[in-house]
Amino acid sequence: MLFNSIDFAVFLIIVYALYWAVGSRRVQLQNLLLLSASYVFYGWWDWRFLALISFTTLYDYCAAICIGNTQNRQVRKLWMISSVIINLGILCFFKYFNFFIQSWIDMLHAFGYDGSVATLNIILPVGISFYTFQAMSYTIDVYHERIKPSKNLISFATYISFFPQLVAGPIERASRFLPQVQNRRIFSYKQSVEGLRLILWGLFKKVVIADSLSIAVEQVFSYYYAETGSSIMLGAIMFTIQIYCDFSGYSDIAIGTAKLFGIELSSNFRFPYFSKNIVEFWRRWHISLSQWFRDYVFIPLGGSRGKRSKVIRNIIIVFLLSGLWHGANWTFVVWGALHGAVYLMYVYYGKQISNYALQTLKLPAFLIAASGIVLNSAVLVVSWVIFRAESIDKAYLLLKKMTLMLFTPMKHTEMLWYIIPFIVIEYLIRNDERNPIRIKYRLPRYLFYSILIILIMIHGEDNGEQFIYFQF
Amino acid sequence: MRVFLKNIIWFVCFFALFYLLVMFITLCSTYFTAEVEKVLFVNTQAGGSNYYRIPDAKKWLKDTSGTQPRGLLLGSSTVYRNINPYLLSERTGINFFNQGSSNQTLEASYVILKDILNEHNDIDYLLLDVSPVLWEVGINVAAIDWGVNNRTPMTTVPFELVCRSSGVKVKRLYLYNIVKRLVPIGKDQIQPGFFTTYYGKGWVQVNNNTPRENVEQKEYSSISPVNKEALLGILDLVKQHSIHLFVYLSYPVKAEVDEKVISDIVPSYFTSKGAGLTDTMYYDSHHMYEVGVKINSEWIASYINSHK
Repeated sequence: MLFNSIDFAVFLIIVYALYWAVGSRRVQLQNLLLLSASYVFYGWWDWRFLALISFTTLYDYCAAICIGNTQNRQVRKLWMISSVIINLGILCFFKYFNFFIQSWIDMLHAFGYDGSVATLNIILPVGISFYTFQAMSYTIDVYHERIKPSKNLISFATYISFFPQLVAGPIERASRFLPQVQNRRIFSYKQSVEGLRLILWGLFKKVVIADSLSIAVEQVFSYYYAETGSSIMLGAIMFTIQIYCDFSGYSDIAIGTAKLFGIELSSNFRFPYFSKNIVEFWRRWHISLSQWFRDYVFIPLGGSRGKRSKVIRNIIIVFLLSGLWHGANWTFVVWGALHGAVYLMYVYYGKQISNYALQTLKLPAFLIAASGIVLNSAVLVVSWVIFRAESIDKAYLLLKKMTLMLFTPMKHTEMLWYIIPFIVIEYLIRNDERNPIRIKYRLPRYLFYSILIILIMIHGEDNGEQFIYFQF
Repeated sequence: MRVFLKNIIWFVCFFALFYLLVMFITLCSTYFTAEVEKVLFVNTQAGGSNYYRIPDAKKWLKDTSGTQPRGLLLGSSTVYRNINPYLLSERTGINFFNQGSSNQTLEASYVILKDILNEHNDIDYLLLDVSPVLWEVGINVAAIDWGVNNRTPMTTVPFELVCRSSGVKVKRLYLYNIVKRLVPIGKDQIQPGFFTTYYGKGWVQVNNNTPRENVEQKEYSSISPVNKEALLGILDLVKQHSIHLFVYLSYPVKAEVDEKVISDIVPSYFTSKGAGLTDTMYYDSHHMYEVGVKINSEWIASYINSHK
């Protein structure tokens, strides 16, 4: 059931009506309703996935209680490690098994050995990367005594499977989510209106911008041999916008839907393409994942303390894992490595360069900021080409053609009708990602909503287009 | 909650009125909406789309009405890219219009032919390309495109297409297009196409600068029931309207084609095998460079001349 489908619209109206009909005094009943709705939502893809999410939920629930019930450090550690191993084991099996086997066979072939091991046809359960990380963070937090283990299985299961953010985040922390479902939620007019506005804006980004660009992007990346260098460049820019609109559109709908149920989710995007450097970009792009890696990988590894070589190692590890998290393909690893390398360059030389431009060259601050945005965008566009290509070879060919044949006639320029107005609108609303549509007077506001709805109606597919991040 | 619901109702009323206003503007305008649609319906504008060609085809049918003999070329991109209607007309003396379009399955060809014959009953020849590449493909781009963009007065044909299509936006756009069809066709614009200009007789789109693609061996040995039924439907239509039909099976590169699939359905057909085409004349599995188009068109013309 996709957010941009008629099925979901009907489902949401039914669940919303039942939820508030139950009344905010019956917290347990509301939670049970949310849990049931979440399982229906997830089972809509494939009911077999429910077994997996139920197992993860039950195991982490029990592991956290066992951690909380003992003061024995070793036993606590054992339960925490077992939870991490179980979660990562499931994730690795479903996501990376074929990739590692295939890479192993390729390596054997490279050395002249025959390695024809049959790979399994494993279906990747949708959203597994998101809810597994959420479950893991819970037991780790309980182990570090940042939170107390939940004694209420329904609340905990709702936390793992809450349908608005189940399949593509934001990756919520239990410390933020559980208190909300354990306490009474009171209907708020402001929260509901903000929720609907976010849903509308998210749908617009996904259905109108991302899905329209996807057609031209597909054309460019599939038939790159027939495209000119400048068209590939435009294709890369289109994909840069597409992936943002696709994923942030999903996040907006998720956050907006949760608001309708009186639950606040974390922000996942803060207009990342207006970042002046890569460090800022990662504070504004897929925030919940960046923070997860920061708290559960980077800091435990030593963070930014210690020798420079150790810090470099920590940063590279985080970016490689971040790349690999997206999927079992070397393109994602290279994408992560590229981001890591640029990140390191900025951390160690970025400030010196901007100080030099400001103090020695006496360039105005706005010019330095604008150059930063342009330069950062260029890096991002290149990195998205690697991300989008099916293989390293293809990424190389695309980048080569894009560079060597840049000054050639450009196709797909009609897509600029989508890109330029969208960037202008994003720039105008850049100060508040949680309330993007702020028009004071009712008539122009209604007019704006209506235009968005008509555009969504015209562009929408009956069954909805898949979200890019569902595959991760 | 009450205020929230009240405001929702207010907005729904406002939206209904606004929607009617949009429809009214659509009804009153032609050029404006055509330009807007170019932006909105990008996917129906891709190379080979019917978007511009429908008015072009209708204009050709109207302009050449009463002039004999005339013929239609139907099929997928193997027609609009690989057959030159100008050369074919010159060699055969038959005035041909190229109505090939992207992914035009047999089912789509059937619907398009039926629609054309509803208005113009004086087509003498039909060259139908039964490209194996689309034997198993369901109704898609070309048909949807036709259903959405056909601006002529409503017939059952586009509606039939809308009903048969699933999982696409065609149903939602159909309401919009019902309104569009009320706009007199005379005001429609015939414009240059996506890649090239195709005034007059359809087009031939040649991509001579495209580097050759490596093609893998493929096998084509079955046809979907719906395409088979459509092919039988086309046979019926040509029989009813006394049209001379040429069925052309254009072989893709490195393809193993079971011709029995076609020979079991149609009494006679000819293939591209005798044309003298080589793999280097194709830039992918089934689209040709200009040199291939010329040879292919000459071959078709010679076959038509010897069998008409």
